[in-house]
Amino acid sequence: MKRKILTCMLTAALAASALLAGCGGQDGGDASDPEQGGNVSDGGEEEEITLKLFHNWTMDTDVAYFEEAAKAFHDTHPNVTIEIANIGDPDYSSKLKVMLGSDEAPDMFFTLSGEYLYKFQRAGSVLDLTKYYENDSEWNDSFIASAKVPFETGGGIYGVPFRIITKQMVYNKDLFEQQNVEVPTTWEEFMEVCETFKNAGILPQAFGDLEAWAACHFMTTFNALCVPDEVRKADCDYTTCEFTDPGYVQALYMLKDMQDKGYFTPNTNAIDFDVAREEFLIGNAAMAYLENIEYIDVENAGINAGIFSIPAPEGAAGNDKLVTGSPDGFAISSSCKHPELAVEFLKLLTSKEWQEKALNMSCTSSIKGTHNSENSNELMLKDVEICENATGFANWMDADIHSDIADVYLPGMQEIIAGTVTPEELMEKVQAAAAEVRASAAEQ
Amino acid sequence: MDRRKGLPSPADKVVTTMNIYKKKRIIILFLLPAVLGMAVFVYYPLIQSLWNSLFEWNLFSSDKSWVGLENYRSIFTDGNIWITLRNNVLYAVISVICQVLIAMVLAACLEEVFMRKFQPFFRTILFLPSLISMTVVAILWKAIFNPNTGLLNAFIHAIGFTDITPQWIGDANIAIFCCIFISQWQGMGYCMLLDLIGIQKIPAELYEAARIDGAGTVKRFFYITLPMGKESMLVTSLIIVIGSFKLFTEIQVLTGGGPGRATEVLATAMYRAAFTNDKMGLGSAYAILIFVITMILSLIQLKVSRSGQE
Repeated sequence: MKRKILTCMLTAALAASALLAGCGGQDGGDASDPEQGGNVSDGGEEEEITLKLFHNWTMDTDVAYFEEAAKAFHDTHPNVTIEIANIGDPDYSSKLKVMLGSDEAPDMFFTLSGEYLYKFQRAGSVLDLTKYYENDSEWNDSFIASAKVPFETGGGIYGVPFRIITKQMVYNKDLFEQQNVEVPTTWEEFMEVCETFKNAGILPQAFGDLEAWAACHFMTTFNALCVPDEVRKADCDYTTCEFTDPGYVQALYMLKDMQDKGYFTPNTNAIDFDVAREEFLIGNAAMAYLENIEYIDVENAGINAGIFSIPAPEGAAGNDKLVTGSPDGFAISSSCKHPELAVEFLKLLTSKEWQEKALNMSCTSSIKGTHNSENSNELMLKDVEICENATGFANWMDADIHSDIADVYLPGMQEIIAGTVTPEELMEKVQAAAAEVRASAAEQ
Repeated sequence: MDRRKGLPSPADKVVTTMNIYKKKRIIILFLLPAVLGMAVFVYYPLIQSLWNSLFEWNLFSSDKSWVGLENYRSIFTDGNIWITLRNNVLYAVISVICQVLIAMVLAACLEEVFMRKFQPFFRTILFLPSLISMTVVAILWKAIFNPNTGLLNAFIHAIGFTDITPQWIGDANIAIFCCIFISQWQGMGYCMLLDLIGIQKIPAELYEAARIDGAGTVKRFFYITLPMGKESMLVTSLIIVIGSFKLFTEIQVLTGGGPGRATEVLATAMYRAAFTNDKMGLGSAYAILIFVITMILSLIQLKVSRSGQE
């Protein structure tokens, strides 16, 4: 009998190791972070303060940028040390959530805008920065007008925009000239351009969707073009989401059409986005839907490129004055003991001097007047022009809608591309998921 | 002499050593580190996961709301669970066939007299993949499976099937088999090596006697190698089947569970629930489900194998 009990216990132990793989409880974070705060008050001397910054840049030059900024801040605030920790995507989000729930919460951390940030606000993990903006009107006015909007929720502003990531259709000017086609101004013209390239044996668009976020970026644009603004906003709100507008189906058909007509890299679902992108960078594809942080790769590849915004289909009910993408930046955690110093540091990062230095990281600045012909290439300047003329942003759909809805919507796009699900069927699933989210919000 | 001086004789020393094992306190002292380790790192997380699975909560908020068995209900009412379980079971079955049965056949082949000369070469070639990290293996095969530029389709086209271009990991019907295949590619050599060592431990007289009795290669395999290697095969299959329900890396790197949810397995579903969708309660429920399944399988296999002595 004892032997049996021992066997059972050993078996349980063996099987229980499965649990260690995933759910590590609340203290699952990296223990390497030094201790919190470090407020040592020593008689009459100034208090030694440590502020922790957590970000997701991993390139050597980018990491150095933040280290230099921390050093510059220390030079002007000798009693303040900024401790930096970083980890790349996609692990960043997981680790951030673990840290925010533990005693190791960073004082300042990188965040996307939209729902990604709003859920931290609902959990009370982030600080409202409204009063800091109000107390410094010069700083407040230095941002590009629309950049702060996606950080606003629940009547407060919960982040500082650091850069703006946008998505535009990048085209190969040489191939356009060779095929004698113009930059399209309507959806119908856009389809004709794609058809011309296809008939000429040139890949119209380099695009791979092995990872579901890739098609999601197209859908962010198409939904903005096809669904009225106020409806889309209501659907992004987890208390009012419905997704019943016919524009959503129309938008999915736009994606499906391009796939069915063969305008994307063949075997789209089996190709990594980055691998597909190479076709454009070696000059084999006429267009690629790219983020502005990828313009540097286009430039380095020596492609003579231009950008345009995907035009709306005739009669579409959405807004074609929105830029696909969003600003991202930094939030201050509600447990931060010295928020005024954290804000000071973020002011340094968003000063014109440090924004110009950040241009090496190939991003569009959130601060007005940072870009000029000396520090930015033609693509970037055009992108800034589009941003400044935009009425707002169509935020990345996967960051903007409730995660339970994204959980159905994103893999569904792969099924649309595979042709195993119709747009109507997918939207029915999305609506069902939205109904559950709404019901659960009503219970709370 | 010794006794007079009051020193213990060698015989006394044995008695003293024996006495140590009779003292309960000493036994407890020796067991304590292992028991403590198990309690802290295995049983406590297990109980905590079970408790956590009864709440709705996320990592970045201290709010926890009691939902009882709701997380378990939502696992089983979600249409994907059956695809997920099917994928895990497929992986287990194919892994046992390849890594237990075929690996044993391979080992027996390499142990045949005429193959002895080449054995080190094949042993190395087949064992090498298991030295590579699974993440690297998955990235490597991702490139090979690329339908447009990958080696696999290039090979298919080169041998004349130019009109066949499978999408491999992009095709919902094939993708899971691609994921399973790379695991076998990596794991078979390792299992074969274990079997080879097992076969080498079988007394040579048995084979000799069989040979004298006129048994051929196949008969020797079925009547000597297999029965003698049964114990190690059972242990291997136990480890493989349990591992099948903890499968994560291959899927996460190769397909991320897609296209759609076609290649989702329990561990990726757990990760998605806990870290992508911020539902730690649901994630814990998946963890408990994995635990229960692996626990039941372990008990069944130990029962079937009678002993588990080796």
